Amino acid sequence: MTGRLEQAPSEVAEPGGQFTAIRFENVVKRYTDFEALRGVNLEVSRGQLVTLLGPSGCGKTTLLRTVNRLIEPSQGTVYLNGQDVEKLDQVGLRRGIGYVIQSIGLFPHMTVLENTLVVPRLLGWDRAKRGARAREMLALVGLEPATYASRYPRELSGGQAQRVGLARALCADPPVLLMDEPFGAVDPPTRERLQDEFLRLQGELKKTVLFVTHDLEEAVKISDRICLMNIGQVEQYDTPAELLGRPKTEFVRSFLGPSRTLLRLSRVPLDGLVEPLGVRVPPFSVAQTAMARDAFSSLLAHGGRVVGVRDERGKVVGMVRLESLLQAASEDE
Amino acid sequence: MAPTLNPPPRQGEGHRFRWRLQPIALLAAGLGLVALLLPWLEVKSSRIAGGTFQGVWGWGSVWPLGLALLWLLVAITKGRLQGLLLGFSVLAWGLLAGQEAAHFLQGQSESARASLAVGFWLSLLAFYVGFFAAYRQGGLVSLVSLPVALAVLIVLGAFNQLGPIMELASWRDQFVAELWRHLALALTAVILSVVVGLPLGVLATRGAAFAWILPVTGFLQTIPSLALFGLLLPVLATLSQGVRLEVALAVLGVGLLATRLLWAAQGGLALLVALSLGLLALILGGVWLYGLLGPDGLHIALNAPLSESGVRGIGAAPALLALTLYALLPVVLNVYTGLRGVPEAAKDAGRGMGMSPRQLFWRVEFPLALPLILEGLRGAASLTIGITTVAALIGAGGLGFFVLRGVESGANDMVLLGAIPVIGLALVVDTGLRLAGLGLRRRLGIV
Repeated sequence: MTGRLEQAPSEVAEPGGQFTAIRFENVVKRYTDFEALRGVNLEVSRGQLVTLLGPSGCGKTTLLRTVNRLIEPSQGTVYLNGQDVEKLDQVGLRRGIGYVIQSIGLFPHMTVLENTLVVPRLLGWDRAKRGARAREMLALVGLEPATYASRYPRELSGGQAQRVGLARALCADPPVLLMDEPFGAVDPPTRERLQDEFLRLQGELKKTVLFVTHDLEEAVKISDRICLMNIGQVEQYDTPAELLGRPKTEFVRSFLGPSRTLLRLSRVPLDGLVEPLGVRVPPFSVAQTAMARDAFSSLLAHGGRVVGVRDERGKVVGMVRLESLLQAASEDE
Repeated sequence: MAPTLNPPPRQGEGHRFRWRLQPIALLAAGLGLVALLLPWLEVKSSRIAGGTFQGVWGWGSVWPLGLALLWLLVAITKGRLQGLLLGFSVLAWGLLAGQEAAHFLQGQSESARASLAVGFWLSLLAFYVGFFAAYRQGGLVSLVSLPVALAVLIVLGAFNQLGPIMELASWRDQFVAELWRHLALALTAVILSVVVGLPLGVLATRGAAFAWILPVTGFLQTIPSLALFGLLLPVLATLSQGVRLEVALAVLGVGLLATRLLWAAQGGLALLVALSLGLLALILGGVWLYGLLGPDGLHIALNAPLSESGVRGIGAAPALLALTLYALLPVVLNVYTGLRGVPEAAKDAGRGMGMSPRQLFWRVEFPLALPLILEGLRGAASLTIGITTVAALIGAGGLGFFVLRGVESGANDMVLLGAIPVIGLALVVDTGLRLAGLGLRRRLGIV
């Protein structure tokens, strides 16, 4: 059976093609005592969300920071929309790229609104335009401007601060976003909510996103493609399904660990597995929009072999069998 | 009517009279009461003669009893009421001292003096402690009641019979001039130290090439002022006699250009040249700024030796140079610490969003360091007001004049005429800048 696993968008990146937003060509970064990047080649298609995944010290943050030239490579070239970034004006380049970091880096002496409109101000937008835009962005990330605009960062929770960080990065409408563990510093429930909302936003905005994380689950959940890195090199660059299904090297296999099968299910939508209801309606159910992993968890929790599927009004409209879930998990292995 | 089980918490706890003892207020009251047992005045036949000590109880009055009662009340109250009571005890203290002085000076000769003795000073210490205690919970009332009480005392002329005030009466014109000089010297030095210290502090954060800045400014503070004056005297004297103003200005201009050119080829040499030029500019700028601010007027004489323009081996030039160098450390240190304390994440975010180094500095680093920089300014200002007293040593005047003259002639009242205003000024400036710093922190959103 094919078509169950979510496929990467058909827009395939050709070397230097017009769909390529970011291209790394043999990028090397040497420090006096070690090599952070050992020749990275990578292409990121326009409108895709690519995560740079890997253990600490694998070079993922270094690679990310070569794009806006916070780090200059010792060798190799980084292309943004076909242009060598080294030949672009550093300040102009950075103003055209959204940047979100783990510690958020909100300016403590500026209000939420002032923080949000930093880049438009640098770009010289007029006052009315940038104010309106910043309010719009705050609303977009789920912060009511009337309530939050005049607050200071210290008056925000971790999740709220992270939202401001995102609104700030989006404010000047850059086509490319660089995000360095943006949800790393918040508690797990908040992180999941932020991920969900970010995915929803990304669905609308279709930015090219380079996203650094060390959290495998996060990468699997949000990525179009995952670039798994180790000691300054790319180990595997694939869709989450491919990566989980066909680990290319021993390192990838061990990094994914024993739970990779379960993780695969988190990217499998239920629609392909749903069967019509039989005579008996299963006693428990999951939402239609849930992933196969939720259905599997529900089965494990309740100890049944069949789980119901309910539509948005809560009515059970179908069911998923344990066998189909097991098959989906083991597919292509 | 059913009784309420939980009465709502009352507003304004501070207003209520409370029978609860606090250690600090108790200490203040204890000191105040002990002071009442000690002599307050030393009555002398002339300002330099020895005298007899006088307590407050001997000449019969209800004032000491009243003050004792006030101290007892201060011990058992708190907050605003305590602040108010302290204000009244200040009043009682001043009136008591004044009346006592009037009593003992009655019928004595013109030259007789009532100098202040240990009980008077101990009372002052008690007020200091008491206001500290009241301010901690009472807030502003204690900040207001003290100046109001002092103002009332001054208007009533309560202090007029006391030694230092009698000195003031005979030195009035000179006092005004020296006070003005003192303030102008201190203000000039603080302005110069900020002008010089701000860039130095910024440079100190910029890499190993400027690592010498902090140790050097620290070292400057350890040089005794007399030694510094001694070192400066021959240099400044030669400079002022031998160099014409336009020559000095030309040297500055050419030197600046030369430093620029030298910088690429010979960094160390360029630095040395820049420092010497900086000192020359500091001297000229200081003397002129002081001329503008001070009572002695601004002199700029072209086509004449520098001494005609106010740069001499003694006087304002060496005093200002020394004061500026002393005030440099708190400024440089706080600029450095403030900039170092700016969160790395904020700087990274600023850079990543496309701020140029200049924009990053003015929009992120400087505002975030500003509260600490202001702390440095506060330190520099109160320090400078205090040490400007040494300016009198090199003939630049200021309130140190009275201290020196008083010490020389053995007239303690005259020493106090110089010392008390210095302490008062330092306290006022310190408090003012502290409040300004608080306000700034609130405005910047950093509390």
